[in-house]
Amino acid sequence: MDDATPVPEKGFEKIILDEPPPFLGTWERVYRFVLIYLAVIIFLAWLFTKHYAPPV
Amino acid sequence: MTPLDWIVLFGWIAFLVSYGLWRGRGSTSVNQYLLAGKTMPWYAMGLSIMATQASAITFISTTGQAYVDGMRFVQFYFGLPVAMVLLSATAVPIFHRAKVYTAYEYLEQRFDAKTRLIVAVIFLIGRGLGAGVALAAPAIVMSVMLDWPFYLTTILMGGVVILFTTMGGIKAVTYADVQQMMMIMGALILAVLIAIWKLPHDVSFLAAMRIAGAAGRLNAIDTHFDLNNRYNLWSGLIGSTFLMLAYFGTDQSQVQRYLTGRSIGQSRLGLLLNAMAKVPVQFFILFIGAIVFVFFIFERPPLLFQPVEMKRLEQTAEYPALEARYQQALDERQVAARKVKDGGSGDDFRAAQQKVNAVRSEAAKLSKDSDTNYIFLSFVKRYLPRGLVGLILGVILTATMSASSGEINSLATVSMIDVYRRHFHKDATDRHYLLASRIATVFWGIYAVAFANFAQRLGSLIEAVNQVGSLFYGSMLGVFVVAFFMKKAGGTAAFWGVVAGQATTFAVARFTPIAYLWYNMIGCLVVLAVAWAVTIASRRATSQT
Repeated sequence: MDDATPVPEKGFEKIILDEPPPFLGTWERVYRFVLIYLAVIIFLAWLFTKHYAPPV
Repeated sequence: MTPLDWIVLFGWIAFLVSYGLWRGRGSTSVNQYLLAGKTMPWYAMGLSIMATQASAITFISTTGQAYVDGMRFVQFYFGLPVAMVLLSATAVPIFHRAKVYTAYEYLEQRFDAKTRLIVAVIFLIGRGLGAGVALAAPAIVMSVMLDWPFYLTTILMGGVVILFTTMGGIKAVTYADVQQMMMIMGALILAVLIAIWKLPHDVSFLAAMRIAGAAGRLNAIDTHFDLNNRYNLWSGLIGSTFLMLAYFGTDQSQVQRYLTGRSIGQSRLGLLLNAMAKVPVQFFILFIGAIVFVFFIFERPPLLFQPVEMKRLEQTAEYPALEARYQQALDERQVAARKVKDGGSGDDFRAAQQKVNAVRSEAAKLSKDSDTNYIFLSFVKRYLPRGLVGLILGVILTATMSASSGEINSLATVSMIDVYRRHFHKDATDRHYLLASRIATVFWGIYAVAFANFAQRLGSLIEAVNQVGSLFYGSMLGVFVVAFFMKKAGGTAAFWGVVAGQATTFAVARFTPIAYLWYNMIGCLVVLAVAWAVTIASRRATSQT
């Protein structure tokens, strides 16, 4: 085993763009939106469970 | 199965393979073959990621699970959106800028060759076991349902996967996944609509929901914290987040998908599509199981859904008495279910359901195979119209192929890039590495088929082998967290962190009753602690000298 670091190669030449998201302006806002969406889904699933739960 | 079903089944497989190969044509360099020339759009990546996760077992086992145990399994996926956000913010830009084929290649840029090699080998062991099981588990079910010999089922499925993946590379796999995902969702929607439509006329959809709820089949959320309970809100939000971070952040079968994106933004969107769609999709699949449960209250279900075991049971001395008790319990349950429909409390219904469960448990003890995985397919074969049966069995077969092709492709990539090219043959031509990639794909395909045939003989051990994957993810995640966030940690700290994390995870699995979702968190935290301690110790030693 040797420690030579491999060189980037063919197919990786193009510049990697860190472009803005197509909606909400910044990625931070998109991430916040996804997490709020998850919270809403969990809340709805909890309501669903409560509504149809058998009586204790 | 009618001739029309066979035509639809083979027609669908032929279409999917041809379509994938057509879209994957022109993969004439290593970059195109392994990363689709970094040209994939976000929706193809997102759907392909979902398809790779959703093997046939997801559809046949998850619906069966909801039938017998309710919908609480959905909580397993709550960590996924959190993980997608964290990975979009961290791993995606890091891997893209590192210009790598594999996640483990980045570890050499960040640490050293030995850390890259140990993590790549851990991946090959864990995912290698998984590839065989991913083929074996659905093949067992499909061989019974289609009445094919098991070896023939695996050879047929494996053969198509090898041909398809070897010729088309990741582009073929990804585009076939897009069609696969859309078709399976369409077929499942049709299946649930037919189940609802076939309920008795006096049982409305809302009444069916009340009945399923009274039987505890709509229990999507459990807020009680219990380390030994596999699925609750907390294991879903905390334990599953670590598992999903590890799976999507360090498992090459997933990382390779988002490395095919033409930009960081496209890869992020692909992951975030998965984040938003996965929980509702799983909720829907589990909901199908709950509806099938109600359906079988009004249509007589077999004592065992596994047809071969059912035939064997019929030959036993115990069968007539079991059958009589079963019929009586079913009759009582149906009467009680009608009372629930009309607003009754459900106590009689639950008592009758317990009697049904008790008879089924006694029958299951006389059986060699659990019948949970056969529930949905029994419903499909007995009650869906001609043509649709063939289509659903076809998409379930291709779901297995889709998951396996992704795994085989990633195993081949790591074998070629992280082992062969790095340690055995450094300066060959692109053409040579392309050929090596194809040979590695054929090798892992044959290995998966052979291991699937071996795994089938292990019987119930298949489930244990399936959980082995979670033993490896924690330490793999830990080393990447060290790489991303512990700037002062070097290769030695990361290496010993991985060794300690792996040893601890094995010890926890062997000697404690802790549920497997927590292994990932434990393994990860041990890697971080040991890497941090080694870093501090080596800095002190350096400053003293």
